[in-house]
Amino acid sequence: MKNLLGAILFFGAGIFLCVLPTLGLPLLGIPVAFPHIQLSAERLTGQPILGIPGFYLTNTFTSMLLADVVLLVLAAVAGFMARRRLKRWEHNPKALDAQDDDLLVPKGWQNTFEAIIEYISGLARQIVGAKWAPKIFPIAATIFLLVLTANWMHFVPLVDSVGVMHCADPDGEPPLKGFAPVAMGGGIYRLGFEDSTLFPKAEASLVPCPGHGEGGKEAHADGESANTGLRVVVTPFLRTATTDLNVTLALAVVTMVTVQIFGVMALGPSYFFKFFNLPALSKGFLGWIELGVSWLEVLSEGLKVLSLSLRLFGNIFAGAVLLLVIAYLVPIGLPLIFYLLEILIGVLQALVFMMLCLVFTGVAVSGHGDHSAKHE
Amino acid sequence: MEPGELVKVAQMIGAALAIAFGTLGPAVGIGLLAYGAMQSIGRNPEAAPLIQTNMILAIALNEAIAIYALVVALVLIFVGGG
Repeated sequence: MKNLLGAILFFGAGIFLCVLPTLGLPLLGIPVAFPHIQLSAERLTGQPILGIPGFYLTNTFTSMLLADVVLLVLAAVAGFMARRRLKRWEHNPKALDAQDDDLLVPKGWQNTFEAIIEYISGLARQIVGAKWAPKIFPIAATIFLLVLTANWMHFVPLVDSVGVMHCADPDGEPPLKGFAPVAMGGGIYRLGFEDSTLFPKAEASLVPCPGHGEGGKEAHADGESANTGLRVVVTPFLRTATTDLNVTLALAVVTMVTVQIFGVMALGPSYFFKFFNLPALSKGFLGWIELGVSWLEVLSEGLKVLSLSLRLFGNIFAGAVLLLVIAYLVPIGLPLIFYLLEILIGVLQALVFMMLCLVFTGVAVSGHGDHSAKHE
Repeated sequence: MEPGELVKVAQMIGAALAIAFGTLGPAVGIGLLAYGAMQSIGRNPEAAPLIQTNMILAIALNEAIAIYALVVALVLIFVGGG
């Protein structure tokens, strides 16, 4: 009975603390504006890179570069430590380290990386087979580690939140999605989350928007909403790389091209009989049907690219939106649960991408023809 | 109500319907998958790692269908049709 009362008190206090900001902030006269969400990656530069039309520096690209750097540094540190330990062991096999442990027993970073690598290589051997596993392993491990690092980028502070402030899309229909900028001193501004359509006091702190100041003035002259032209949004310097369909599509295309290359390496030119089943023609009329069916394989490879890219993109983008929306609805407490969920989804999607790469390779190298019907 | 607002409302309802009906099938599919996997693990606990790997793979393939619906809904909301 005492435990039950404690539990009720605990959850009651929890729920109260969670709901308080949602109800409390508007009651105090601070309506909270819904965050700005954009499906395509934001451009960081006004002009295309190298003058190539449509080729802009996007914030997902910088984020991908950062993920690469992080991964390389981690791998270099782990590799350096492992080599140093191994050298000491070669020098004197009976030596012990500072904690009196055997030098051959991996520890710390080295242990973490060894566990990951061992798991992936075991998975590759299980799915692809012992012959091709060592060859596909570097690609599969790279995909896993890169996607994992990129997925986890949105847990790093300042990612998705610090960036260049610029005017909300001037061509959009009013009311513009955006926020009133609030000066914080030192040339740094923050977004005024006090929704200025509901909370007119924020207008006082508005700064002129250089992009389309004229539009703002016109809006003033029309006597419409005073800050129609003065709404700004932030383009973050970094945005989780896998929330850009271009990134995931590129990864999927690279994966499927690699799979085709492995198929040719394993079976030679006869790999392409999978797509144009010419040998089946010797069976007579039914052979023609088999030839037609084999053309569907071409379509199936294209659909694999689509499905791989959309799965990763959809999961991670939906996760990012979910985190934003939950933080907007219930700012305290509840987002933690969803952060845990997103950490799990980040690992799972990286794992699934790598596993599908392995499975497709396994199918490609295992041949086809008469016994392929059993596999499929 | 202006025509633009009507389009907006239609987009929102379309997105809701897309995700609602799009997740029905995969939900049943994932349930069946987990049911089968749990039963086989119960019968043969030694095979658990192998079953788990294949189950996650099959769930991911199943989930892809729900993700298509999710992408359609996201495109309807954030990109819009007009």
